[in-house]
Amino acid sequence: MILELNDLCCGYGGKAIIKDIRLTVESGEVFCILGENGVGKSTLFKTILKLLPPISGRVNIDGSDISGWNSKKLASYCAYVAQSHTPPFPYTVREVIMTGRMGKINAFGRPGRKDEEIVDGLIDEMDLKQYENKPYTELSGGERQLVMIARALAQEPQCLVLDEPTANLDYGNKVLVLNTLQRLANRGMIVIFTTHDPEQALLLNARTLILFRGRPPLFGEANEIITEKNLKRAYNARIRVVEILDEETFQQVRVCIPMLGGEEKRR
Amino acid sequence: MAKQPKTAIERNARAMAQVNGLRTLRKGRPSRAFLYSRKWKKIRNILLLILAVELFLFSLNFRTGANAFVPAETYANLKAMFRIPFLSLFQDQFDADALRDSLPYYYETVARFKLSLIAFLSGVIICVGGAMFQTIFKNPIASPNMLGVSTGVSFGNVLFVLAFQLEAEAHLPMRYAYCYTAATILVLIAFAAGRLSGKRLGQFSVEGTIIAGMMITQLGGVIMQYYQLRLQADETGLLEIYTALANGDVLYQDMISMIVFLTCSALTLIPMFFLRFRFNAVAFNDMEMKAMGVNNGVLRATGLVLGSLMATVALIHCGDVGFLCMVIPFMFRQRGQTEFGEVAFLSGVVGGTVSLAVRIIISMIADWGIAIPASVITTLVMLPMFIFTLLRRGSAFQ
Repeated sequence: MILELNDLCCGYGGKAIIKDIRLTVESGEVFCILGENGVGKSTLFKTILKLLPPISGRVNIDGSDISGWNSKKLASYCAYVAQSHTPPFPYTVREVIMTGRMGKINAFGRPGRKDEEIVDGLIDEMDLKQYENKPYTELSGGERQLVMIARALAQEPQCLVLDEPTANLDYGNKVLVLNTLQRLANRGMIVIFTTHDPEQALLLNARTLILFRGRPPLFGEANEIITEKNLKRAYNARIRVVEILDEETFQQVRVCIPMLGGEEKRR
Repeated sequence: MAKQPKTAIERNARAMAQVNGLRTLRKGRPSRAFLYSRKWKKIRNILLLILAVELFLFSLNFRTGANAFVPAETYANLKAMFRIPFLSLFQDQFDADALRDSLPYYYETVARFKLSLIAFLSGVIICVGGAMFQTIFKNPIASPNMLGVSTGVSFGNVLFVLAFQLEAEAHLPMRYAYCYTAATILVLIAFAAGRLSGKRLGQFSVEGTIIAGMMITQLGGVIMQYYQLRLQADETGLLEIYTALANGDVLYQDMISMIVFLTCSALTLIPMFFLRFRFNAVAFNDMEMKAMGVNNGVLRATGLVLGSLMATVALIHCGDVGFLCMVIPFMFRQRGQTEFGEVAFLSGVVGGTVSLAVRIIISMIADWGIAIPASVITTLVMLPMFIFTLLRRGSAFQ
């Protein structure tokens, strides 16, 4: 699958928040979007998922403009994992994952053997067997995020779009989610996600888009564009990018550390 | 030959299924392991219990009241009731009236059977409607009367009584026309208000619909009170007719009433049955569901129409049954049932059972010469259960 954004401008009510995005992402790639709060990361997601119409420009999947696609067709290519999610009723983990099959099941139908098999497979793959019949509302943040990823995967998509998948998670759960994303990309899936931790883009060796307020966006390899200068422009704060040695894998890893003091006044 | 998996997720799922070894049977057949599982035994026991309770209540209905029928007579009468339409169709010389007249208490037995059916089915549909509204509004205490249905039915009854005066009971088919039309108009007003208030946001406003429904209910309540006071002052006997219609003191079992009742019940229950898995989508975020290829707006509108029609059918044909439709689905949700199909099925069965039991209690009390509206008995039965459920509220409930 090839996802192309051609001169894409998106925003609300005809007012552009993001302008002239031009980039291509292919199967097996991780694509990370960085930028300060309110800069338009979620708006870009919504436009890619056709939840918001573009002001100008096109979103192409495998060379075809998605503006003429219905939501069912798009759902068979792209799945979405929202930022936070709390269902009003205590659905079990299995029931929540099964809702991911709705787009594949006839409106008057019920989940069949194939759907059950797919959900079983995802429960095993995401290591959720012990929570299968537990209410989703009783799970920890990391486990919930895995359930949401499993639900998105139940759509059998080729592209997974995640809005801040590690927000509010502790380190253990962050690593769990990031490892899952890496595994999915290795399997040939496009993984698109937003984050406020630039080192996640570095850890996943992602192609990265940095959105700035009032400046054109930057797109490139994480190692090339995540620099102290660009991060200062993006977040209006001093952020050190330092290289350390991972003593287990003997690889150089770059991490970002925000510095206190000397920051400019927030806009 | 088995279909080859197309995607990586499908291949993975098939491999996992083979490892588990439980899902290699033909499509549509439950596996042997499932038939011996504890889950199936539990389901089977619950179904058997439900069947036993329903049989008991239906039988009890023939043993209470002024005439207590002998079981053998009841069996012969019911058997004849089901056989007569077939025999009339396939035997030219068959005399249905002669057979009916030859059986003792035939007409009374059939009437009681229809009464049981109306009471049971009304309980079923009102509770399924309650489960639907709770899912749509993501609120465990939502009720299908929220959009002004009960006010519409009351208006229909008022207009019917005003139009036909003391002759009202002789023109029953017109009552259904008045009630269904009035209820439909008021629900459409609530929908229009929802659409109008959501215009600025570019989507249908559920809040606007509810507020309009509440306003209609309040306004309707005031008008009904005024009308009742007027009738009371007039002393023409119309108040008694109106009260009997509104409370469902008499369940009408003539052919037209039964056709209207069964048709409207089928029109609501059949789509609800087929959409039972899909309706789970409305409990989740609209944007997430759209990204899955599911249009929650259409589903919600379908659910609101079906739920409102369910409440209308139950109110017109069985009268006010109290807050049955709110409490029973609420109890199942509190017990941890979430899947819409399961909540609707269990609420429907228990709602039908309670409604039938209430009718039997009413007929028992009537033997002592006391007339009590069904809503009073329902409230007396359901209130302690509601309080008990609230006290045992589950921790997982949001």
